Amino acid sequence: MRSKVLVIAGLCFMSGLLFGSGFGLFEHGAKATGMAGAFTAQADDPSALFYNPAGIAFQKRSLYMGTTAILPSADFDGVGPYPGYGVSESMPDQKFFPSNGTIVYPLNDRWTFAVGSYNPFGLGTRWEDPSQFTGRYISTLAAIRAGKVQPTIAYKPQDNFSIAFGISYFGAKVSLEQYVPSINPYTQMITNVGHVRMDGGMDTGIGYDFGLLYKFNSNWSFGFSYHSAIDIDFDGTAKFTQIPTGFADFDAIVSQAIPWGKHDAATSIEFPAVASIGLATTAIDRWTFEVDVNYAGWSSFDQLALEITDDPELGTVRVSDWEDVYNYRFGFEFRPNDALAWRGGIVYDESPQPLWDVGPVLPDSNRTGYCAGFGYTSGSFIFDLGYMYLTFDESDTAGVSQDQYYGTFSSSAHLLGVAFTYSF
Amino acid sequence: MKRLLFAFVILSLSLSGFGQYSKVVAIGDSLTAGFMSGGLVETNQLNSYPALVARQLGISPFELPLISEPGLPALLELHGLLSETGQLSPTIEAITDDPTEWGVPLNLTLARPYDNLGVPGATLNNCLNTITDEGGMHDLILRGLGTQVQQALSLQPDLLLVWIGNNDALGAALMGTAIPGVTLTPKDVFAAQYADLMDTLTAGSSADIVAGNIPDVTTLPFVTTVPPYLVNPSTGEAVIGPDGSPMTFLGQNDGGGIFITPDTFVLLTALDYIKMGYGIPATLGGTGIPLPAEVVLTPAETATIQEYVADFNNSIQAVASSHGIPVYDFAALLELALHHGIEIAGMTFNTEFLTGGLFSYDGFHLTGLGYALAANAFIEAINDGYGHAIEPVPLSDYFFPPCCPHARSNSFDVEVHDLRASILIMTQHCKNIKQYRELQ
Repeated sequence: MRSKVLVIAGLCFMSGLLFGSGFGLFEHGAKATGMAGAFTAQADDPSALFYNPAGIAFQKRSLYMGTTAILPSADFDGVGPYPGYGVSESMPDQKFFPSNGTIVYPLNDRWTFAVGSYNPFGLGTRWEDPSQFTGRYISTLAAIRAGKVQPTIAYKPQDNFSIAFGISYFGAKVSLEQYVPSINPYTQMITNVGHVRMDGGMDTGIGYDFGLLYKFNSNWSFGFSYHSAIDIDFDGTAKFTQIPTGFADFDAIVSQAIPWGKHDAATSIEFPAVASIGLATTAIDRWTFEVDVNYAGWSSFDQLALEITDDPELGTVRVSDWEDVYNYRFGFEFRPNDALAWRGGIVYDESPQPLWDVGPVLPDSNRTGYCAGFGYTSGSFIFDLGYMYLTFDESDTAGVSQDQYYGTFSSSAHLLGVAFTYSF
Repeated sequence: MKRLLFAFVILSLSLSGFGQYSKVVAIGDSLTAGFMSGGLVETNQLNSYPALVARQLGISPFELPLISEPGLPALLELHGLLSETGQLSPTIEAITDDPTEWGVPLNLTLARPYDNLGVPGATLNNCLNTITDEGGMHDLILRGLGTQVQQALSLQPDLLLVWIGNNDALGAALMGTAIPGVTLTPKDVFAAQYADLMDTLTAGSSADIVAGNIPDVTTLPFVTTVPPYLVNPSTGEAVIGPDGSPMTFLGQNDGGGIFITPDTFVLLTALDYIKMGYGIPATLGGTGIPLPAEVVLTPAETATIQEYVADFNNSIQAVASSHGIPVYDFAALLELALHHGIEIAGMTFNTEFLTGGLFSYDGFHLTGLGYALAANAFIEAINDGYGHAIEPVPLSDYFFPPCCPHARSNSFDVEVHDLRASILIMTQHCKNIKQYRELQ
């Protein structure tokens, strides 16, 4: 049994290259996704390890596997002075699969153990035709993969109340790419003379998790969950590759100007604390309603500093100064019979990113998600499907961009979650 | 597709400030004419800053005194960056030295004045009073139809771009000789003529007017590129003199010495002399003949030119303010470029020769990219001063090839000159200049 858990954990660890408010992810279960993530006060399937670890105290012995296909799209329309009116850019089609594998194992009437792994953060910003992308000297690729394994113990002192505590073994990788510009003396225009790729990780950190679930009576419940911030120092490499321009003497000068080749590089990211509270009711027969508020402590993300160990002058510091944010979620479920469940919900997700920081590295904005879901129970099996259409407010960086990269970013995403729960 | 295109056109019309002015006219000098790399040529004139402003306003036609390839005079080209010994030493030469092969006027028969009336070499006085210069640039562009000011007013513009005065002060730098009243327009004359210019323009037209000012002489690569030191051609290192400090060229010295002082500016025009051994002591393989006074700016000359530029800019600002005319601060743009660089989307533009991106091969006039930045600064001044929202020139059009008419193919011959002292140019030199400035 133990080895199986590790296999699932390992799979999930590597699967995500992801997409969420800031770069957080909230889609860790198809049932919750169908209700827009308003699940903290229900937490009645194993995805509770994220939504509210205390929920496992009320669950049977079960195995859970799920994934969410995320299909984002993003476009950029420039204004002056740079890149200028009429310039359009887009991201290539990408697919991300943040996944969740969890086992819940009640030890006795009061204590329940669970372990699961999922991808709490992820980012995948890349641009079409990178060597010609007008923002290529800022960023052509910014990717963060993060996964964690979260063993959790829950205690249920009374039949209507539980608390849980977990330890998160957190691992992440980061990749950054951009081009190096120079004026070509022969053309008196800008040309690519080099390419930089920074790879950090897989580096690890440890955090903790907490949950509380209280059922006032048979109709009302309250939940609270908290995942701590995790600071990760990435040690990796930065590879500087010269790009020949075709002008031999200019290339010879360029080759001496920059220490090309692989250098040790370091960066660090503090992944923020995430907290949720939720209130759910089943006061209307066959219906469940829940409202949640989530908090994410994104002010932890104040800069992205790239340090080149042997040549500090090559390093960069990009100030971000993100803000703490709240998300607001509403979800419902209707159960026409014991086997079927229909779900829906809506989420308003605040962006932690100030407008002046919006750019080719990460173009975030406030978003609204519209959700629908479906669940089917047959004996020991539960199958859940959850869909979310996420629309982003347009971000117009005209006159404010710290990258001097002006225009409107517009994004949207389709998310389709699927999950199986097997009780045994 | 057609409908999409149509929608796009409508959108661009509504967004880009089209229709805010219907007639734009520019008066000025070479910087207004679109002079670049030592000459005037069609492709660059079409991207002169007034032509770019007109394009952003949707004004067409915008008539220019177009000149055919290879330019008038023929444009300069870069033939190589390295000397025989591998030191940085660019070879820059005109496409042709034979005037019979230079470009010819293409739009001489236009039955009305040009919309871009900028005349290379024009001073403020020329702008007000010169109709003919006996076969020079004025005749080419003004064609006997009146002074720049007269012709501009006759076109009844509703937007007038006025960038004049550069030659009144910086002409002294080009000539390497700062003599008030001779190479520098007297301050009181400039102030009076500038007031006269704006009085005439505002009395003779109801156009919105925008004025440009004059940059500091030490922001020009024509002045700052060549270091004052003798350099060993085989090592690229400065030659150390008997007193242990780097040796400077032989040349004009404010204090009467035979060597120039380290804070003397050696002009780009000195390179031809240095290649012939001027400025280099005979013991080091040179001719022992000092660099001519017209290819160096001594500290006293530099200070004089700076003093005149500052005074002229005060006059421009005062006259403009009295008429409510916004001023495009070109001097500030180049100061920013010199001290910090102009940063745009991960690229940095500065005043370095060849690699800074702003100045063309003559070290004095701008590149296409530099003129695009100038056009945007003018547009910003118009928008701020007159409450418009004219869309800036899309800079990406000027940052990346294909563009440049004189971009050379990948195969070229490096012409190597026999240098007695190789000249380290580009980054290293500008660092030296900055150090001097800091020491001062």
